[in-house]
Parts: sequence; C-alpha cells; structure tokens
Amino acid sequence: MTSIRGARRRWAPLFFLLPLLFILLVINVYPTVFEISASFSSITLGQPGARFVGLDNFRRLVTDQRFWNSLRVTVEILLFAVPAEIVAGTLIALMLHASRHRKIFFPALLVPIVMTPIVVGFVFKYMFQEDYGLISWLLRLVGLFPGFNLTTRIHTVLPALSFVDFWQWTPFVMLIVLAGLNKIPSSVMEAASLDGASAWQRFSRIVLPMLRAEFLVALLFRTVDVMRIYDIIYATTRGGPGSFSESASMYLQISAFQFRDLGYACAFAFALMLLGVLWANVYQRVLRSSAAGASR
Amino acid sequence: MSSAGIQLGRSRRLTQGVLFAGLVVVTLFFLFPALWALVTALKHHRDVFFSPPLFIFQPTLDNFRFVLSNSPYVRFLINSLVASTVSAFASTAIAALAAYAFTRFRIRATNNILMWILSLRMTPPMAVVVPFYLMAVATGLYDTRAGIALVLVTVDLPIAVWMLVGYLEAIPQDLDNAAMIDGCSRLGALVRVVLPPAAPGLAATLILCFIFSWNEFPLSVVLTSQAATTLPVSMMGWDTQRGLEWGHMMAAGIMATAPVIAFAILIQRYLVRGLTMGAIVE
Repeated sequence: MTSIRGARRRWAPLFFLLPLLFILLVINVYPTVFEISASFSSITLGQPGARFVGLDNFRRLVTDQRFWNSLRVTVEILLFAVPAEIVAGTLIALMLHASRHRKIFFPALLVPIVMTPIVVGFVFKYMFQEDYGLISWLLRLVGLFPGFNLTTRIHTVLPALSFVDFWQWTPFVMLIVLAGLNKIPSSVMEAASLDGASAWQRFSRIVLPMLRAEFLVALLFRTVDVMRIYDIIYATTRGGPGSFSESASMYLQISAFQFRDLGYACAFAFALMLLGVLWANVYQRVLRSSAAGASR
Repeated sequence: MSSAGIQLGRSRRLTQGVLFAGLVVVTLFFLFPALWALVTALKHHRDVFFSPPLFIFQPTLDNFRFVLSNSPYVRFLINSLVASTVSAFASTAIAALAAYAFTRFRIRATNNILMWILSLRMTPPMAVVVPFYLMAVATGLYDTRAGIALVLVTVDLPIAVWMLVGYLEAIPQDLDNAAMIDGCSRLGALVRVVLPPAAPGLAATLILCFIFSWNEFPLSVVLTSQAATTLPVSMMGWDTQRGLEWGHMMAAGIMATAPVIAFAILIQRYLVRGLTMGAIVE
C-alpha cells in the first residue's frame, strides 16, 4: 500500500509534464537533432539521399556574401529603429502616466502591436507607392526627396523599413515603461520634490535608474524580434531592390526552398538556434539582476 | 494663499491640456495606418489610385462585398479560426498542467526546462522550418488544418507556459493541499481549486495565444499551399492577381486584423505580461 503511494507520488510530476515533454520532443528535439545532422550533409530538396560533407556547409556560410548581407540588414534595422523606439516609447509612457485621460488613449496605442504584421506590411507598401502613396505624397509636400518610393532605392529602403518597425513597436516599449512607472511609489516622488528636486532631477536620478530592468527587457525583446524580422519586409520589398533588404529569415527560406540546398539551410538555421539559446541566457541574467534590484 | 492655490490649479489644468493635445497627436500617428487601410477599403477602385491621395470621396462597401463573395476568403477565415483556436486551447491546457507541476513539485530540472522553452521564443521561427516541412510532408500533415494547428503550438507554448507559471505561483499551495486532504486527486485539485482563482489569467493566456497564432505568417506560408491557407497567408493573393487590388487587399486586411485588435483591447491589462514572457507584470 505504502509503496504504491510512494510510486504514485514519484510519478505524479511526470504525469503533469508528459504532454509538454512529448510536444517538445516533436516540435523541438527531433527538428534540432535532424538539423544538426543535416548541417553536416549535402541534401537536395526533392532528391533522395544525403552525403556527408563535414564542415563544408559552415565553411560556405561564413564566406557567403548574401548571408552576411542578410545579417547587415538586421543590424542596420536594429540600429535605426530600436534606439528611437526606446526614446519615443519612454516619452509616450511619461505623457500617459502624467495624463488624467490615459484610459482614453491607452487602448488605441495597442493597435500597432497586435495588428497582423503582414497586413501592416501591405498597408505601408500602399503608402510608400510613388504616385498615389500617402507617405511619398507627404514627402513631396514638404520637399524632402522628390517623392519617390522609398523602398525601391538602396539608400532609403532600410530607413523606410525601420520606420515601419518604429511605428509597430514603439507602443510595445511604451507598454513596458508604463508598467515600470506605475510601480514607482508616489511617496518617493513626493519626498524628492519636497527636498527640492526639479522635474528633470526626479526623472534622471530616480525614474531612470528605477526603470533599468524595464529598459533591459524592452531592449532584449526588440533585439530578438528584429533578428527574426520577416513579415514586413516580405510584404513591402520581398527583399529588394535585388537582395539588398533581405533578412536572415528570408535568405534561409530561399536557400531551402528556392535553391533546394537543405544541408546549407540547416547549417544556417543551426547558427540562428544558437543565437536563440544565447538570448534566453541573457534574459535569465536580466531577470535575476532585476529581482536583486527589487529586493534591495 | 488661496490665490496661489487657484494659480496651481490653473497651471495644472494647462499642463493636462497640453498633455491631452500631445497625446491626441501621438495617438493619431499610431492609429493612422490602420485608419488609412479602412479609408482605402471604403474607396471605389478609381479613387484608390488618385494622386494626391483623396481624403473626401464617395464611400462604398464594394470591396468588402467582393472579398466576401468572389474569393475563397471564407475558407481561409475558417482555416485561421480552427487552427488558432485549437492551438490556443491545446497550448493553454498543456501549459496549465506543466505550470502546476513546476509550481507544486520540487523538480530539479524546472529551471532548465523553463529556459529550454524560453529559447523557443528567442529563436526565429524560420530556424525550424526545414525539419517542419519534411516532417509535414512525411506525415501527410502538409497543407492541413491539423498540421498548421500543431505548428502554431510552437508559437503559443512558450508564452502559455511562462504566463501560467506566474499565475499559478500566485495561488497559495494551502488551497490545493486542503482540497487533497478532503479527498480530491491532484488533477481534481488543479481543476477545482487552483484554476478557478486563476481564471482571468487563464483567459488572458488563451486569448493571447489566439492572437499570436492568428498573426503567424512565416511558418504558415511555408507549410500551406491551398487547402489550409490561413488569412495572413491569403493576403498575398491580392498582390499577384491582375496587379495590385489595393481596395480588395485593404478590405481583406481590415477584416483579418479586426478580431485580434478587439481581443487585445479586451485583455489590455494582461498584455504586457504576455508580451514579455512574464518579465514585466502590471
């Protein structure tokens, strides 16, 4: 009797975890194992058989101009968009926090975050059109650029795509910073102003340091999500002109399904997976440091 | 003394007025593309291509009528509904069981498993597309609703697990211990005692999973071709047939995205928690 109970107690956790572990096996363990083994092979989509080629795929990857270009696209969008998103998101959060009418504006500001990304891409594609597009028309109106389609020139396509990213994700930063602002006790701010701290001093000496964890979380998630950028570029430029605005995810798809070079695509994917594990570790560090900050 | 008070009240009202005006401008900026899509969807074909863009025009519902009648739009809608609903419910159920185990038992691997699940969120979905494609073809799940639902679980599961661990942690363990002393099984305790107080969080998780599945594009575009095409993937159809049909495309886009916008506003208090995997709690 007792031994049955003991066994049940020991196996109970497994019973609750079994569905999760099974699904992880299907959607993660098997694909990862397959991918690692395929990345050392030459496999062509639609043809049977695989040939072991050692590190060949990885060697080709690091010498592939198009691979490095796809990473450059990611980094450029990251540099153009994310700092602007953090500054603007913080400003808007401060405005909402100070306003008595925040309940009116808050729901409207959520629209970009959840609007279907591929639809966002097509809306902006329409607005970027040369003759009848709203953005081109506005630029003509203020005399900035002769009003050409910004997504068709190599000098303007990445800033234009960054603008779309800025539009969609600034409210996300706002959401995070606002949650942080709501956590700062008003007594802290009142005490500071009684001690004669100016508004700027209160912001730079109290608010900013207390929001450290929020900024790190926003930065991390924006970095991770720019690394996977796909939908918006797919809708607006399809990676063009040429392959100038092609993101890593797009080139991975092309090498797998257009060039049918599955081994190469798997080596590519393996590199991206390692980045994912790295970001997960960074996230855990951030959480730990913010927990330490909270208890202090 | 009293005049100073009035002065303060006046300047505070002025500040609020300036803030209100500023927020109107900001909100218009972030709402504008969605509104412009709606405006375009309401235009006649000839007005869509007008330069300079028309702000005053004769509105029409023709585009919506066309999308609903002359295209397989309804089939795509049902595909999206079925796949997103199934994956949202399956992910939430699996995650609720797992979150119960993580918060109620001492499992040494808890942290490692949670990190493992987190790394799924941090990896681009395209990184698993090759094995997914080959598996889908081999099992006959390619271009089926069941296959897409399964793939969407990849997107939903990390969010659901991390959200529910947070919510179930907050429910006191004394509750389920008491229920088990009264003769409940562990599963009974989870369903009857632990989940009810977590119901708002559970509902938010379910809705957030639905939103993420509904919006998913890169995996769906590779793993469907015709029969199981979801709404976001079907948007591409308006890009190729006889050039660009902006009016039809915008009408289809508005209808595709309206449900998730409504859902997001419904769960606005829980949104930040889900979007940051529980790192930021409102």
